[in-house]
Amino acid sequence: MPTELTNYQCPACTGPLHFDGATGKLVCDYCGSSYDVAQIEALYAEKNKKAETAFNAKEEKGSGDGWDTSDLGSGEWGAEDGMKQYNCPSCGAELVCDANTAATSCPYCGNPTVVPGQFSGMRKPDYVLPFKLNQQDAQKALLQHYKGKRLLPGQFKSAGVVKEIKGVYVPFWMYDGTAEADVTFEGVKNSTYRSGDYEITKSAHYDVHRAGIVPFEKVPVNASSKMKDEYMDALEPFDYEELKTFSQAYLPGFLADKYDKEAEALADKADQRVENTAVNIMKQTVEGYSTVTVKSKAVRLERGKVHYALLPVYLLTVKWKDNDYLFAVNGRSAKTVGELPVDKGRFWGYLCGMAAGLTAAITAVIYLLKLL
Amino acid sequence: MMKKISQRILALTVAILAGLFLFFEGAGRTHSTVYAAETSGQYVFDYGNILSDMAEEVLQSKSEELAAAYGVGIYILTIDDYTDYEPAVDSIYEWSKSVYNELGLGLGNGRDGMLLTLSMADRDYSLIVYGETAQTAFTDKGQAKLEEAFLDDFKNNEWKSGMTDYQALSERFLQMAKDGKPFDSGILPGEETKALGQSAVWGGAGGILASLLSVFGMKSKMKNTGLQNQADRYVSAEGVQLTIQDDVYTHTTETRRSVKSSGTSRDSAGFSGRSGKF
Repeated sequence: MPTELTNYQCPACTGPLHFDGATGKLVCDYCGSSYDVAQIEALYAEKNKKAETAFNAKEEKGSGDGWDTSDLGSGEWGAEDGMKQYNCPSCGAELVCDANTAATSCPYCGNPTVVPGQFSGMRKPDYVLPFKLNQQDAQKALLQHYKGKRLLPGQFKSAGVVKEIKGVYVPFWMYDGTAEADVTFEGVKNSTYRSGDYEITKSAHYDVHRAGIVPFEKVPVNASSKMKDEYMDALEPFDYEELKTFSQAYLPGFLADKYDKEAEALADKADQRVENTAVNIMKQTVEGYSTVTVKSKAVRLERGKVHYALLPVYLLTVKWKDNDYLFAVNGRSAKTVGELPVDKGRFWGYLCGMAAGLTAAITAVIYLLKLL
Repeated sequence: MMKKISQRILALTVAILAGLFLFFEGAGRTHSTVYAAETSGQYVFDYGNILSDMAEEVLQSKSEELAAAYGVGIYILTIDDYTDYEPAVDSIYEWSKSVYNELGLGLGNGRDGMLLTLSMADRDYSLIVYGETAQTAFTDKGQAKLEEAFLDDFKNNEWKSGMTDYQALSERFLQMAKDGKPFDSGILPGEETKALGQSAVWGGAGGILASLLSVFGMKSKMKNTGLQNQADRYVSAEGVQLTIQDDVYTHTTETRRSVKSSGTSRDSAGFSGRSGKF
């Protein structure tokens, strides 16, 4: 019976393969052999197709036009619970996953596992941005993030334990489009001169009209409800130059979810960003004025293609003093975002110390200036 | 009958001529000169009538005392509106210089003296210093201190009090110059503690504000998550196409701000001083 899951196994020793960001190849955990993505993709094409078929068959069966079994209460996980049940092709263990899980690892045998059906048909992403960093790199990035944070509790670095680190391919919608902006500004040119005991400022007022067309490409919006928007937005930019046409062979060794927020529902967010930027760009073309303020604006958006992409993010959870602190690391640039704890003692210490020092310094400067 | 008519025409003509004479006489007063009377020994000229006779006497007496002790004239001149009098100049500072010379103010060969002028119409004042001895005693910093001393009173229309402070501080500066240590710093001897206190108040306010800004700046670094509201990174390579670029002039507005002019150390005419509004 075909399974809905695929384990990517080494052709040489059947050990589990995982994608290695540093080399851009699939590497065997056991024998160390490495393979190109295209090579493994070709090898697993048929197996993935069978897994997809099995997944889709199960989905159709689950949707059910047969007997109504809704009241039976089988006790099994089902789509109604937002969970799905699979069997690990390697050890046969039962895996219970979120309904959107597309790549995970078996908690029993540790083998990386992909659910090809989650990416079949309309659900297939257009692009994937492969991980470049490994888990150690992500941890280093977090330590680097601590640097220069003077209010960070001293023990957080040493006693704060990284409880969990996960490499996740986060689903994003990427919007193309064009903004036609028509903005009127008030520009003011000031000139000041002195006449007798008066300083006279003459302000020449202008109506400044700018209109233009601003094309946008791949404006990203987080498509997973599990990921916080303020974390995902803060991780930008992702280096789009390295975007690859989607292949499941980039997934082994990482977690991946399919989107659970529809592109149409998130379009407003992209629109707002595009609109703000279009007005800003018009403003940047207004030069030679002392002040420039927006009087009226109209932006017409022409929506274009929407792309579906998986972008690489490490999620690190640090446990300290019974609290969990979540950090996200861009899987390529190592940009790290999150909220660090504030040491109240340090906060007040710095405040009082600086206030005392600065008061003394400013007092001395004022007194000396008076003396001079 | 004809004689009576001729007499009436003559009387009317005389009346018209007299009226015209009086009119032009009155108009001519807009630029008359300040009194050219004998000023020797007079130090207080209250043409603006803001002092009581008693106050004028007390101030005159004090200036006489200073003149005798230090050989420097400490003058006070008040006037309703300096622009009504000759010379017609742009500033009260220039006007005071001219008056100082016209009235022949100053003591000794060097015509040492200091003149405080108040013009009441627009609340203008000037302080000018002339002569080597006076310049030595009333340095730029000394003049600034004098200004501080009288301005706070003048702003409250306390004329005598401001002028008394002016004379008292002038005496102090003259004595310091006589002792060979003319006042040339921003702090008066004996007022160091007060100055330090004032500095500490400003220093405290500035220190607390700066430290708050700095520490809250540190705190803001502890959280770097947030939503994006711009998409400038995603403007495609084909770039922006500007279709309208039009700047149309609409109107001009003007704002005026009164500024206190500070005197130079000494101008080509030998004066130093300052002027402004009270």
